[in-house]
Amino acid sequence: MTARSAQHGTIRLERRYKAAPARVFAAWAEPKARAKWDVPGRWVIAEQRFDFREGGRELKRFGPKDDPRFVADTLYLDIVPDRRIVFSYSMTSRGEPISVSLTTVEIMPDGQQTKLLLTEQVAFLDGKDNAANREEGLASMLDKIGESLAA
Amino acid sequence: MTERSTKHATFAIERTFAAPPSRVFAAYADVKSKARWFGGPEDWGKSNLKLDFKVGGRESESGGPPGGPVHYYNAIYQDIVPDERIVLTYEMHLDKTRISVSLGTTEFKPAGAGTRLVYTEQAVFLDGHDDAGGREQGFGGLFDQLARFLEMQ
Repeated sequence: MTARSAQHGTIRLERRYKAAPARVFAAWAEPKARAKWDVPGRWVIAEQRFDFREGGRELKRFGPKDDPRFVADTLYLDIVPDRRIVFSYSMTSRGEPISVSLTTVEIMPDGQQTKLLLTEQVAFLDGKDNAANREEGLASMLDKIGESLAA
Repeated sequence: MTERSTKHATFAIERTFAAPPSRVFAAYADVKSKARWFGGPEDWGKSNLKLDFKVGGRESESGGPPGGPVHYYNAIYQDIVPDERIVLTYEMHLDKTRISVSLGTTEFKPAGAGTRLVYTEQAVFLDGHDDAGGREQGFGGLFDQLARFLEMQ
């Protein structure tokens, strides 16, 4: 029997991009733009369904190339074009819970650049993941956004 | 243009109830039971709770003081472990304005013959509708109502 637990944490990350807020927002809103960065490091996306609108639900199966066992089930809760995205997502691995997150992405002009603030409030379930590991994954994706905007 | 802002907050409330975890959990899982305790003060009127208690299922309730704004609660269940844990996300609207989005974790742990309940809320309050203290107080009131409901059963 699984020992049940919940560890709560908050992860905050900040990035500056050399692009207008509308382009940074589009990196999240547009499927083609998001597909370029929406998985950490060298992991792969095996399946992805897009539904970027308030109330929209997305499913993404991803992970290491030889075993993409993770499923993220995302629900968009609040969208302010070019300015803010709030969404929840649960992560499971072969049906076993890993975490549930509430993520706030804020996009704001900063001189000629754009500042992005990501705040992830997360409950890690049954000891399956931790804040340091999650932060590393999120940081990798935010860096990939920068690379995709520069390309 | 509306001024956009966010305020992130976390609070935890711990309560011990005389009933075992299975009974406390049932007070969340069964719509008729939950409608008895999960609602505003008496002058907000009768509960109109709708509940589809399963992962991916939705819950909604609305109400408010006579003549005051209508509070809308809309939730979706993210993780359920019978008798042990419920994780959901919910949003609150005041009339037509979305004021907050929250991640709520409820843990049910055996404590002697009773239950120790730990509720942790991680919330983001939107566009100046910052009310973390009021939210925590609101849940305190709900758990008082839950305690009375469990005692009467």
